[in-house]
Amino acid sequence: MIKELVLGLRFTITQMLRKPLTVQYPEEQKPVFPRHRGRHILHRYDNGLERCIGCELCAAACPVGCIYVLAAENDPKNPVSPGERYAERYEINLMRCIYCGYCAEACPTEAITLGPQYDLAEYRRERTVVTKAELLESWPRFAQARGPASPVGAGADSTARADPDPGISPRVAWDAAETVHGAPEAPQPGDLGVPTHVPTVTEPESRDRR
Amino acid sequence: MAQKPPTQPDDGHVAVSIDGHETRVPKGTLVLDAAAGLGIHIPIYCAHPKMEPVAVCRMCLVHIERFPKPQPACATVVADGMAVTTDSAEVTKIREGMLEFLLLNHPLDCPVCDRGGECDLQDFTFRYGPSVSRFPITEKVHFNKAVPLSEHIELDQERCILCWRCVRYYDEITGEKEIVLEQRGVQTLVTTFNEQPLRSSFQGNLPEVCPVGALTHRQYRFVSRPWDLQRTAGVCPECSYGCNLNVDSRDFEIRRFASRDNPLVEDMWLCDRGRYSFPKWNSTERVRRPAVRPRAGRARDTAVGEAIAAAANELRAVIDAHSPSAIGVMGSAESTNEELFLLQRLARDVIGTRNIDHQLGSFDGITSEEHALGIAEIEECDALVVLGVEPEEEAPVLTLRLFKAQHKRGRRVHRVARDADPAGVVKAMGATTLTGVIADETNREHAVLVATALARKGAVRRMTVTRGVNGRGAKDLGVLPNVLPGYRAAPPGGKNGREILEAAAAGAIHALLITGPNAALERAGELLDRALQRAESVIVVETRPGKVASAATVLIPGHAIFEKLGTVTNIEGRVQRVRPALPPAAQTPSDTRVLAALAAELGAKGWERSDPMSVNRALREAVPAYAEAGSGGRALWTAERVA
Amino acid sequence: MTGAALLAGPDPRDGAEGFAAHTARLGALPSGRHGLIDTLERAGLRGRGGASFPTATKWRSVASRRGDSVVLVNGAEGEPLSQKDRVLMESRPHLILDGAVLAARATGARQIVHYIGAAHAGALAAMRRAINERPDAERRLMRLVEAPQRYVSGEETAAVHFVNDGTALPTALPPRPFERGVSGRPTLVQNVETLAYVALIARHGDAWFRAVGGGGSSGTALVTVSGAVPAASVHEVDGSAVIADAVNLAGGLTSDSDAVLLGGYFGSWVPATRAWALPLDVGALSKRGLSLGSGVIGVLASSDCGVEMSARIAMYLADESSRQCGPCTFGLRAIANAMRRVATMQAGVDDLAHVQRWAGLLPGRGACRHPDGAAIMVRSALQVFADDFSLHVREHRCIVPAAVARAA
Repeated sequence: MIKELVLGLRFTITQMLRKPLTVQYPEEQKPVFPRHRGRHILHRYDNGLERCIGCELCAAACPVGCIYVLAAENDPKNPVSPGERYAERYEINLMRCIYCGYCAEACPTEAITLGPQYDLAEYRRERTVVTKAELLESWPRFAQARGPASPVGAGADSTARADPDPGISPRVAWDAAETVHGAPEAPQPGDLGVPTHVPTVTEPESRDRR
Repeated sequence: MAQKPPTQPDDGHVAVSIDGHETRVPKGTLVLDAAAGLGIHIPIYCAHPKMEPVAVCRMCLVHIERFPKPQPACATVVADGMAVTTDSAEVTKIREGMLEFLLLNHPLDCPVCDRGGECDLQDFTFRYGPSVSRFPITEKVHFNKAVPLSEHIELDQERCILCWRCVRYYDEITGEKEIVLEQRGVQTLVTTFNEQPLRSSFQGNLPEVCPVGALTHRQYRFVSRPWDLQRTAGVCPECSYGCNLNVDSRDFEIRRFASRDNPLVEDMWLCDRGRYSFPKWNSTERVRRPAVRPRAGRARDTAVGEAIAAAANELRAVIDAHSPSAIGVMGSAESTNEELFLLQRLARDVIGTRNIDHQLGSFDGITSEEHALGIAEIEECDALVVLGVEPEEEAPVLTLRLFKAQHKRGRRVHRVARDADPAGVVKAMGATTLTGVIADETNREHAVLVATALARKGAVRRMTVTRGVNGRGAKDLGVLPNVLPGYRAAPPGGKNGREILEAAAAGAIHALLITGPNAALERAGELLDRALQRAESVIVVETRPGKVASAATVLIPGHAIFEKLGTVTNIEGRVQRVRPALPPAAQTPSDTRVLAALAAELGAKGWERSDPMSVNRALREAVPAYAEAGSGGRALWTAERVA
Repeated sequence: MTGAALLAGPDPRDGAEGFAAHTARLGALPSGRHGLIDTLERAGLRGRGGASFPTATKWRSVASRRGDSVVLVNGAEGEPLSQKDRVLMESRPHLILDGAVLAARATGARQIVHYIGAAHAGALAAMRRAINERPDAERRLMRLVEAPQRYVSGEETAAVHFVNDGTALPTALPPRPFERGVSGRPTLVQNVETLAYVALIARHGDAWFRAVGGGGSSGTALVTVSGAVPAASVHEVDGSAVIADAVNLAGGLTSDSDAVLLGGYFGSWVPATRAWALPLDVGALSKRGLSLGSGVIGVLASSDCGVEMSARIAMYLADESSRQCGPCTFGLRAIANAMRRVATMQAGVDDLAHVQRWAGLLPGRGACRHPDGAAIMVRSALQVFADDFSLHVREHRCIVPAAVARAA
């Protein structure tokens, strides 16, 4: 009997000493697999210029039509992307997106990839439409690289401009107008039942190593 | 050799076989067109349906039996018994080879090219080309990109495939010669003559003539992709010539006008004034809410129904206090036929006034004779007399038709002074069996004199260039004090536009009913101000804020021409449909429904079916010429019909 | 071996033979109105402009058209390696004019247009003088037009186009000149050497023509020998002559030679070992897939690199393209660029393969024969200089080091 007890306890104790599998989500998040297809990321070149040229091939390839691109012409002295054309607006309706990755496949400049972020719930429908400012890779060293006195290039676009959000497309505005019209104010963080702490995504250690 | 087919009676046709399919086509048909008739596609770059063949791109080479080498389908005329092969290995190899050569120096920047998605080079490469690019980008020759040729046109020399179409467009269609192919050293480049900016008023056609993305619209630069655009068939609203066009919109804004080939009207060429006029239709300066602003009392925004009721009350008050003749009705040359038809019926049958017009001047003695000459018939006239510069300023595309008549058909075009001496015109004219006289609508009387004088030489047909997109419809449908729909004589005593305004300013007319944006009214200037101030009630159905809208006692938002359904009539009487390309800026019923509701409020019966289609049916019943014209045909007037 | 028919009489280097001397030597011009075309057919005379088209056939198609026709005497000589037309015009202008008058009579022409290269000052002067010596009746029919110095100016549609519009570019479309040419009339475009022979055949008959060829089928021919010879010169040879004879007439080789360019820039490279024994006879050559073209024999000196020469010719031809048709504008240019890269040791791995394939895409695709001719030259170069080409591409070196420096 003792033997059985010891055997049982040994199992229990070894299990007790093992590292727990539970993750304290959302305070803690597990890294995802490197090719996980989560929320999209718009990338930059090493010099900070945006890779996206606003060609809309992602929008054309998208099977559900969730991408909206409005292109504009680069100012040659202060370009946002290499070449003549850049995306002035870039929006993805994450509610509609099926995360198939066709956009990344269609992209001629490898500007868009599907990233690791998967917790995409929102309290308001229109917030699930993410704009270019949210999608674009941050580039903190850009300002240093160019020096503070000359805010040129794409960094200027995201750092020097007072309002980096280029706004939303008429298509979204149309939806938003309908939603907002007469609706009670949507719940905000801090309201009853809404967590105040919105966790940030823990990036996987390295996307290249695996 | 194949057995000759049994000879058929000579009916002007020849038998050809293309890829084994037999067909009979008229003599003189090009192999390209004969193949198209069979649904066989032959790729072309230099050939253009409106231009003479030059056969330089060699993309359309096909194998023809008994010819030693491949022949260009765009320049070879069919012969009886000809056997053409377009799908042999030889032809496929030719096409692949040609595309390979074309792509040698092409930058392949389709992702940023405005033409991407509707580019012949892209499409044909996809369809006929080799699937693998054999050329590293680094070996390509580089030229200038994004060279502005004018305020409208941008040139990308790298993308050019030297098809000569732009050069030939200037040679053959406008006769202006502004683009040249320059041979600089070892390279050939498209550039402007003497590197001067383009000055033509027809440059907007260049990007459509160009088979690739070398010539593009600056106003359309990076604006949209063709697959984003919603295309609606429309009619150019800039003048009364009635050019067919496609309205391409995205995100509820018009992004460009593209040509929609109608050989009978504009022959696929648009003028720059029309083509680049689209931004004004995207304007957010619009009348958006109905309002009632009584002369005594508080101005307020209302619902449409309330505004219509208020309008009816004001009109009824004037009729009761004075008489129906104390009401003046002003239509607009920018309204649809359906609206104009309802408006004149409302004025004459419901209100009972004879004071109705659509613009200021007098149209005494107007007859359908003024519009006898059709646009395509210009080419059939032996001689053409154009009085003054106004007709071509008002309707620029007319110039291209005259050029075609002169240079392709060998007709004589006499451009004379606006008030040229009729005897002198007759003297300068050689023998002619059919003469066309083209005048502006402000020059009607003189055109009559010239036409009468010319009638001694032979038949004469007149064309009168009306003002406003539907100026012709307004006249056909009797929005004039002196004629009823179909040019039947109206009972006398009606006041024309200027007289209505003068009477209103003098206090003789107490109420004004004004519809639509009316450029003619704006020209009245100070007289309009006085009339609007003095009138007790001003009922306005208007799209744009302005003098008239702000003076309104009852204001009802109207729908702009690209927001509604209806028909408009061009200078030659062609009744063409307009369709909504944009959602209306104001959430109000269409103008025809507003007019019908107003009539109903005034006690009229039988105005229930007031959607544009129903009104159109009523219109066709009332005006038989319009019933025969249908949609897209010409409303032709004969003496019996007018009587 | 050497022939003396066209250049018989006084030494050609002594300048133009006057009208009096010409008539005294050969007798008056026969009427030639009847049966001349048949005589030409029996003689088997072929055009000497390069294409070797049977003359009688051409004349007959012009003569059969209704209305007045035009004779266009083609002395443009745009081929840089050729001098024979010039020499003929400078020394025997009246022979050419005789031929032109006969052609006009036979085809019912009321106009003779002399189309002569603007750069050939001596020929222009000689022809101008000769025209003025002709009887009034003949002179009235003639006018002289200076042809622009372009390679394509001599092409028959280009010649007609220039006389009509002032643009020496080939026209892409039917009608051909014999249907509608100068001023819309049926036009006979004929090389000066051919016309000179017509003048002789009309006087001596077809049997004489066949005899004078000395075994060959085509009478004598004027050839220009250049390259590794003391000086470029023109010689008259008969059908029994071989290339070695022509080279010897020109003074013999000045250095070893590996290859001969036969027929001019549109001609073919022939390995020297094979070339020396080749007969200078159109029929015999065409059996071997070669063409005498405009009678050019270019001898490649051993100090020259065949690859570099071919690249240079390709560049020249690409520049001289009228740049109308796609295959020429884009294809020929691409070939020339790739060949230049090979010649200057900057070739990519695929360049040679590209040139090979592109050369196959050119023939028969253009409006005129410019791309076809260029393709013939390029293909023969690839064959004859195969080893050199691969040496250039693989090892980036040349058997003639001096040529590399020149090409760069």
